[in-house]
Amino acid sequence: MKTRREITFGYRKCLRYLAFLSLLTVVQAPTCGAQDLQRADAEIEGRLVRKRDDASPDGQWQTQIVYDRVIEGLAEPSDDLEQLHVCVDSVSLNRLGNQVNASGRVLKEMAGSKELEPYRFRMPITVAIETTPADKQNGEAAFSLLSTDSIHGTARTRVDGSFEVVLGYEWKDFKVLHGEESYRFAVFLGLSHQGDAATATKGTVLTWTSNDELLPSSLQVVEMPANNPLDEVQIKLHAACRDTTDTYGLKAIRAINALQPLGKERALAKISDYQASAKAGDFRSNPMAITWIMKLLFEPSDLGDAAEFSRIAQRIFEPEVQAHWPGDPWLVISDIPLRYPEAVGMSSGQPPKFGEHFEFFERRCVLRYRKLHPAQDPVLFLKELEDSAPIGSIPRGEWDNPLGDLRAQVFNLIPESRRKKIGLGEDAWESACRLSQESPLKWNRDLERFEEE
Amino acid sequence: MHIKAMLGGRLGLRTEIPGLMLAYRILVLTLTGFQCMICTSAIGQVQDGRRTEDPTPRLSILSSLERRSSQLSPQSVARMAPQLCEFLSKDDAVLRRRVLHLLSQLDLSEMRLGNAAEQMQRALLPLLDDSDYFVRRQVVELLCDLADVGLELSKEGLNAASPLVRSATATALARCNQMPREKGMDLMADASPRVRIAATYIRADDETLLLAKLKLAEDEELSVAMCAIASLASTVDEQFDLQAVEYLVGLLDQPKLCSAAVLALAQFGAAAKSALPAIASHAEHDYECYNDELGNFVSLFEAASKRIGPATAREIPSLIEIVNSGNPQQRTLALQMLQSVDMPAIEGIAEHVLQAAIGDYENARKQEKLLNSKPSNQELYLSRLHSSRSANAGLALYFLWAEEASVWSREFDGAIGLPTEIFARTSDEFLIALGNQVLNANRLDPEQIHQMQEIVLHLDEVPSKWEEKLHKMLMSLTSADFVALTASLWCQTLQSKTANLEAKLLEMLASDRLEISDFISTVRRLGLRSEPIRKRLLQESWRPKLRNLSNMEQIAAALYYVSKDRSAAIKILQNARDVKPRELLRGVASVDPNEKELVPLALEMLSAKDDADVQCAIQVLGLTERDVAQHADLIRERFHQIARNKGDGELEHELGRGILPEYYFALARITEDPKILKDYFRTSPFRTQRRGAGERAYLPDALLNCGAAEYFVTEISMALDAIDPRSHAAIYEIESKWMQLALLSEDDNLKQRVVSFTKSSDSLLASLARKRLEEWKSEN
Repeated sequence: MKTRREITFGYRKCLRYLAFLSLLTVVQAPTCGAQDLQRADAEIEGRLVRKRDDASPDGQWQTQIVYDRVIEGLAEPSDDLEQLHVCVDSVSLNRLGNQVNASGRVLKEMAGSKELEPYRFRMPITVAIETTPADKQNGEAAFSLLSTDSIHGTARTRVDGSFEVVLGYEWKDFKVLHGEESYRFAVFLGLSHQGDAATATKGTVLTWTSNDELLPSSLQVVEMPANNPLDEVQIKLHAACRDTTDTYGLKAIRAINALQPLGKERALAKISDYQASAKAGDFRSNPMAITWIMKLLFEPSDLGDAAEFSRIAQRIFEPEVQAHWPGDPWLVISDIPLRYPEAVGMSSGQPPKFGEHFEFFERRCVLRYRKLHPAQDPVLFLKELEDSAPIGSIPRGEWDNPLGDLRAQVFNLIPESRRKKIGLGEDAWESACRLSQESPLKWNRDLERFEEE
Repeated sequence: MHIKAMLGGRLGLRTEIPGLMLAYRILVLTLTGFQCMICTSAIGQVQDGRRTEDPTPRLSILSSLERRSSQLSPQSVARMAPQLCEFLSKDDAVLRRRVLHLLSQLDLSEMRLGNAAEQMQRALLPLLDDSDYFVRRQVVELLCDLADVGLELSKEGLNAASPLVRSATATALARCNQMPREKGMDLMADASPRVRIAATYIRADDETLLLAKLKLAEDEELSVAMCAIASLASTVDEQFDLQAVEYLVGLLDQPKLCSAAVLALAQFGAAAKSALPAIASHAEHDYECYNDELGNFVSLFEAASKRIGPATAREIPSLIEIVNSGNPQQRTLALQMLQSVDMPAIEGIAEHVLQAAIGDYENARKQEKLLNSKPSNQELYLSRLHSSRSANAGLALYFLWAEEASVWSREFDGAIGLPTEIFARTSDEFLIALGNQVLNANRLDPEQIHQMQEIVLHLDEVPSKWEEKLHKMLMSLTSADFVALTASLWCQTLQSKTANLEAKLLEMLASDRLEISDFISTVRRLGLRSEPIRKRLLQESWRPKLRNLSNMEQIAAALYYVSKDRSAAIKILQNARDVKPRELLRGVASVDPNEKELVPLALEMLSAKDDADVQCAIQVLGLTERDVAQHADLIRERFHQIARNKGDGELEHELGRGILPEYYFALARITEDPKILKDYFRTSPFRTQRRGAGERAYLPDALLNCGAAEYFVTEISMALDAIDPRSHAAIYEIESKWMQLALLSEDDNLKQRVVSFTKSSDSLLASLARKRLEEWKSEN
């Protein structure tokens, strides 16, 4: 078996491959009849015992998958590497631009013929995609299975030779993400080797490593189709809605300030589109957080009655507390949104679903009139508020520390430079107060963050 | 002030005590002094706080003021007003918020603050531009509280550049009815939706304003339209009610506005009566559009019909049309909506409703292929229909068995035959459904029992697989009412049914849960007419009961009925210990009612104090075939004596279930001359009772046994007169017997009366009358 510690191809060599593979592009995939795919084949037997990602002895990335018995029919690619071909059926980027889904098939030349048939072995593979578009490749750069410019994912082929792999990546080139044109990227496919079944104590060890065998014929250029990514506003909304604990602070303010100028109709359209994608599973988002953001973005249309508005995703049920937190869970003073302490609030039964209260905001609310531009140092603001009824009214249980939660929210607004000065420890809050009194933080309207003077 | 008033009220009752009066005055002065101190302290603190730039003292002062807000008098507030207003004007959002909160706690509407009110208004006005909705809302409320002195200052806000100020000002002015007339139209056409929303508060007392308001109800901004529609009923002058209602009806076609329109129509109450058919007609549209945050279509319709007033089915013909011709989804919706209409309104359409529902059910059944193959699936399917009521068939069955069913089924012709028809068409599934319904019911009303009887009577070909279900269903009926009303009917059905079913029925009658006394009574009466049935009943059903019999009377009766072995039965009685005299008497009578010692013992017991003893004596005298006719007067007198000692209620309820039936039965048996019997009954204490329910209930049995119907034409006629389909809730078991007597009386007028009942609008009554007539014809 040919083994190379690191496979590097020169650019010219790559061009040869590219020229060859241009015949085998994604669109014009090698023919492989449906009847071939339906042919019975050896099924994998064995149960996954463990999967572990760690560093290999040489410090490189590797994944170990252990099965509880020897896998029959598992490929041990040795002599026929040259005969293998890869057909990448589709590559798509999710709407957040942080996940590539690739699917395709591994094919083999039929004996005595140039026709291709599915490679009927369950084969561990690594798929790597170069993130720099093929037509922008630097002439001297080399393709590497594990380079800083590539993303990779592991999978195992099915009995019909097909595979699907998910590659995680935070796409750097925003133009690629938002471009209307599709881009072409080089795709590699590496074959992982199977561990020695005889030496494995509990079964067959499959190991993917960074120095896997590269399938020479797999190098090809695929087209990354133009997708319909989230726009800048939705990205900001997503940042605030990924998790309920992220909802407060700068992320919430930025999401509000991105949505507010759009006007009610467009803002609702953005949110609706975002929710539809989240519901469809394009990315993970928290419907409760979306509802809270909407409660901050909208206000009741009727200046006389806010009862129904308060009941949306309600968390505060004590009337005397709700009187001080009418925007449940928000209290906005000086454009600084404080969220009712997480640990104290009660859940109102079933959390909202995506789009559940959308109609309410559409029909019964208006968009807030102004953006949120905090007019006060958040530390001094909270210090001033600490003795007041809104905070005094919060019920305190044995383990609840509402003030701690609120202070954490304020710390979330403080710039990193100030936080370093404040340091950690029990007197952090006192330090923050002292520093703010000496030099209050100012809100930068353009960058939407607090800054030190 | 509150404490003062309270004490004044209490001590005012004792003003004649000078000492207490003096104490009261001292107390009042002390309290006033405290209050003055508090206020002075508060004002002083506020004034001190004003002088310092550090916000901390100000905030602590506010905290103390918030705690004492309930103790502040109007004078104190007036004195503090300048300082509080100054706080409001400071560039300190937290401070402003706290002052606003303090002011909102003070109930300014009850305080006459004079100049201070104007000062406060002036300080509050800039806050109408606050970014935060809740601040603006609080300011608007405070301005409305201060509106006694007028909101002249605020009116400038109507021309402000900021829509926040314009909308808040308009809201305050409109709510306090101080909106300048000429500004109303401008505000309704304002560029900002907020201002247009505020303008929906403006009262429309002329046509121009009304038209402008109605235009807002279709504003391009949805929230404006929603507010305009919601506020229409409360802000439109009464003279324009009909016009507004007509307009709202027009909005029902707009998917995004229709639910709000329905709710708004409901607010118009009776004025929107004409809108109900229009709302109902929307059941045939895509009603999904109604399923928004305001509710679904059915709940909206229910709310509207409640507020607007009860509609009759004829007023909402579209629902009936939908039931008749709509698709299943529309039918379900229409049926659900019909439930929210007053029950009398359903008159005339119930049959349509049920027939449509049955049709849908059959379609559903055809589609459900599993129904024909797997009984368990059938059962599941039906139970799902019942539990969800999501399908029309489930609804139909619900209608049949729900509380309203007894009322409904009387309202249309053919109700009595409907279960049979359903049974014939849907065969065993209906029986399962019926069984499930009965098993799940906490109690059954007589109507349901009667329908069950009808079902059983028509069970000519009961699928054997459902016998168990039927058995369970029957076993669930163990109430006394059931025994009284249905036992005889079960017995009558025994001969014509399958062997298994018969065994199950007999087993049911042998159940421990069935009271033996009721059983004896039923069997005795039944046995007089049909000896073979009685024998089979006893032999099959009575034997299992023997093991659990607890008293001598029952054992003796059981032995007698089962084995006819008198000697064995009497031996048991003789050897028994602690046997009460009446048990012994009844036991002996059970074994041999013609025992010669029985009559003197019974006559002796007739004068016992215990009513139960008297009842036993009457029962024994009624059972014996010996000549006791000469004792009829004695029985009558004793009975009258007991009756006189009872009140109206007791007479009906206590005697009704015990001594009264025995009395009628005994008199009818003993008295050989029907004329004398008639005299006896005419002098019955029940004749003088207000309702005569006892006589009506128990006399028919007695008369049927003595075969003297022709002598009781007047009584029968009166009983037939008393049949009132509207007020009578029973199932006509008693009335059926009176009809039987009427036919037996050979009186043409009475027969004609029975015939007339066959044409009654009350279908149940008509069916019973037909049944009696058929029986009578077959016997003759």
